Amino acid sequence: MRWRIRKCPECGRYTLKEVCPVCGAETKVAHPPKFSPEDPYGEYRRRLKKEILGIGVKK
Amino acid sequence: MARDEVRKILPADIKREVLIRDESAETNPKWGFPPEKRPMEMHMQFGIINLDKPPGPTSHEVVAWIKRLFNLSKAGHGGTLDPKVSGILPVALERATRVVQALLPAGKEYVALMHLHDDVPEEKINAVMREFEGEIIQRPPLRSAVKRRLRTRKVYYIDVLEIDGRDVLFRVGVEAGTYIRSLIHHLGLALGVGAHMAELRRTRSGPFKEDETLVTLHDLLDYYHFWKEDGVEEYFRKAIQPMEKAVEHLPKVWIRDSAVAAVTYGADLAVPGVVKLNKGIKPGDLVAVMTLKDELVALGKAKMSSQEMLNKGKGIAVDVDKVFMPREWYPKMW
Ligand SMILES: [Zn+2]
Repeated sequence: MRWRIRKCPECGRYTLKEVCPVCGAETKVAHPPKFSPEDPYGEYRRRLKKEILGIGVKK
Repeated sequence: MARDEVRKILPADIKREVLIRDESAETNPKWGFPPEKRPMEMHMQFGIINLDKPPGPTSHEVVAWIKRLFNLSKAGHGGTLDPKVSGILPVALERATRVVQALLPAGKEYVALMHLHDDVPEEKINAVMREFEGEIIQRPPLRSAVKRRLRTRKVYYIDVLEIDGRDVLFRVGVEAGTYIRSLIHHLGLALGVGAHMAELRRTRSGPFKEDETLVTLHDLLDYYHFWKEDGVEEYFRKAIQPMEKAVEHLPKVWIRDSAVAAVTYGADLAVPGVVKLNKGIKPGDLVAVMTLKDELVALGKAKMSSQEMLNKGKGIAVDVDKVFMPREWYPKMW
């Protein structure tokens, strides 16, 4: 299914457009991504997220 | 546009005045666990997640996943979202599970995409949609558990956000139990061309909104790992709200320390135990019984109006229905 409802990550505006009509930022699909409880890419995703959040980084 | 901004108000947004019955009452800091003082494990036991449900699973499946992933024995959601629908699905955990009963009667907000079955001028779309604000008549859908008789529901506001050919994107604030699919079907009939709901997302359920507390299943699971495996609890802690969040929109009665234990042992709340309360309570209203530290003790039905609770010297103020606070938090004082 191709989703049509989009949301601006900057100002929160809901829109059908690719570009936010309020602030001009690039909009994203409003719905969160599919989730599987088996979560096959979980470890990989967490490795990236930890880097971004600075978790477990050796000083 | 400015006009639309101010109209986006659900009953939960109306501020309630506080009436003081006893100026001098104090609370002992040694007793109880205000939300910010709960250890992580306890925070989870009395927690509720402001979950962003993905499209796909049923609400029931999502709750089953959460129980399995976080090794919980109990959990419950506040107001079913259909499989294809995304958005705010509050999920209460363990000892807070039944706090969802406070959310079922709360107002909801959705962003919906309506697809019209033929062309209609924009002015007509706007005019007809404005007419649907106020009371509407609905019949529960075929597969609904609710008895299928006609009933009225309030539409608090409808804001058309965009019209793109036959696609109409709008935001709608409604009373609990309003069927958006059916609302769109009736809009289609009123416009004379027919319409169906192409996409739906819930953006609000009572006090739960799209704010920094809204969390996806992916984030939730990752934060749980960071806590359990990396010993970093701050992310999982922020992903779980204290059960008190779920009663933010309810009228409240604050009670003295000496009355807390009695209520946790099942006693109804008598007037002398009341320290302060919200204005505007009517007999029969669902109310939250709180400590002076703003901890949730119980949910109950008001037996008196606010004025009576304020002025009377005795009698039952609240018929306690569901106790959330453990008995050990406040000492027995009777
Ligand atoms: Zn924007």
